[in-house]
Amino acid sequence: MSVESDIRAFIAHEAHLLDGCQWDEWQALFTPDGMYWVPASPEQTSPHSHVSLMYESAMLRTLRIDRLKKRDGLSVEGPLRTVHHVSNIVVDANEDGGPSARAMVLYVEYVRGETRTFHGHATWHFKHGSQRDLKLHLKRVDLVNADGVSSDMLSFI
Amino acid sequence: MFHLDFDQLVQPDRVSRRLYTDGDIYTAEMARIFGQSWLYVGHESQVPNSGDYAAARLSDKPIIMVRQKGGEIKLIHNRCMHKGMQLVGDESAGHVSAFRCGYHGWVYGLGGELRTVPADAGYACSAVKKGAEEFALRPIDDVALYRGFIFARLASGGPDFETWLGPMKSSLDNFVDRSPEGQVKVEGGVMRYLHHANWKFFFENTLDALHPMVVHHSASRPAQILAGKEAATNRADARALGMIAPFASPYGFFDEMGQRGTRFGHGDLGNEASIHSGYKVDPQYWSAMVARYGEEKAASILAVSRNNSVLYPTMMFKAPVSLLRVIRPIAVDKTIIETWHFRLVGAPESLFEQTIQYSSIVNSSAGIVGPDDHEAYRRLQSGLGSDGPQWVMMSRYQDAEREDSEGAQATKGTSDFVHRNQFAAWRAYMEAAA
Repeated sequence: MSVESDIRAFIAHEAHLLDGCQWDEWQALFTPDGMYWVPASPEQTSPHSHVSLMYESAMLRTLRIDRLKKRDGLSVEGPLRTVHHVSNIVVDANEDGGPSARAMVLYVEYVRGETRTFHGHATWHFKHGSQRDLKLHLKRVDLVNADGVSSDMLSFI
Repeated sequence: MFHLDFDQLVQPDRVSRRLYTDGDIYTAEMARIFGQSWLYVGHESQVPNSGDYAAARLSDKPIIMVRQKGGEIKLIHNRCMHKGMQLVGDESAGHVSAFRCGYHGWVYGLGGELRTVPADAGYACSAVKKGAEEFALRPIDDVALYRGFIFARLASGGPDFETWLGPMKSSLDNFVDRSPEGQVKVEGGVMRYLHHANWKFFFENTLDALHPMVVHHSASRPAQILAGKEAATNRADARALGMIAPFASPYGFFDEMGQRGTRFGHGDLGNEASIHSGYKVDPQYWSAMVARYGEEKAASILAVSRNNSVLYPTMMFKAPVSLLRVIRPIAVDKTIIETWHFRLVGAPESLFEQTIQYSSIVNSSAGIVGPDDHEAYRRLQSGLGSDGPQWVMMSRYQDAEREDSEGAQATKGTSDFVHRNQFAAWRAYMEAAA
């Protein structure tokens, strides 16, 4: 199997895990210091000097996942259903030479009778784990309306 | 004008559900409150140089704030005097030498004077000509600049800015004094979060110390447990837990942090203590503060920890984390909440990182705190849509306020006094203009 086909399989698997509410398995895709990032501005270069819609470490993702699992919290009450569409995957290398990929994403979140859609470009930066397996070091989603008027988003794109 | 029976809308310990649900009352609020009161517009750092402009709103009116050649900031209605088109787009900002209308090309100077009218021979028999006063862009006359913050009002008359600000001066001062150079600067982007609820819920909630341990329990309690286990493996995670965990503090903590209310509906939650008072102080920051103010003054500035401060009816600010939120009503059940971030000039980067991290976790529409508040407002909006019971209760800790040294009324943190105080102001505005 080539790295390219591994990455394509990884991305498809990731979408299935999220849509299947298998958040613990999704978490296991990351390196321990892997970050999940949804900037609040297009071409945002830093999550530290510019606000983000989400910039979550493993620990912060765990807090969110606990709420989603227990449906604990007013906004996460009731069934939450999602669909992750990923298309036009391009596999390349990131700045430090590690494997990476980018693609268009369409994310649909349904909760308490309301359907919300989010569109954007996603980037995945990988590192190799101890078994030479792929681990996610950074997943970044640049929403088309990142700096527009925003609505609630409860799970991960 | 339709008739409102104010005794049936606002009583000492309760208000009518119609205040949140009645479209006619909303329309009247826009005219009588937002049309009369001082409103927050922006910060001077958004337009640092001559020719810099930023689009803003004054109530629902589009305006432009623009830095003049002489350095002063002018507010003008964002509307061409010809056909009325907005000169610059909503939320746009940039640098210009003049404003040119994108419809028929009329050109105005930075001060609003009419400079060029294309094909002006056709206006030979009318008053339209270069420099004509009646075709200059309309300025907003009542503008106040206070320590970099710009406020304005649509109506002339009423209290001057300092009177309106009143004892809240010390809260706004604390926002700026936290900079070792006594100066703050807008940076780090703006978030605009659409809320499907009446604008007043936000102002009540922001000074409501009885909701965090209920609404934010599911985010805050696990954070407390992780903090107890010292589970954070890096500085950012440790700081995040320090931000999230205090929301689930016990009732006694919130009572003791105190609250105060002043004329015109303003108020603070917290004073000597707040959910921010446990934050670690960066030693470099402390040194910079001591160098600027001396140890005693620096300590007294940082000892003031006002969780949330409200300048009714458009602004909420959090001095301890250097951010402010602007409330923009769109409809009776629709409101945009903007979050603006400020850099404390002269402070180390860690302070700004704290502001950005706090906002990304707590204020974001994709955070684990904001959407729970939003859902509470949505259910308040739909609950009050029921015409069964008519009243919303505000009776906790009545007549327990005492006057503080600045002339504000202070009481226990979980009192409904700040809410009663908002609605006393609401009634005063609405009745005075009726």
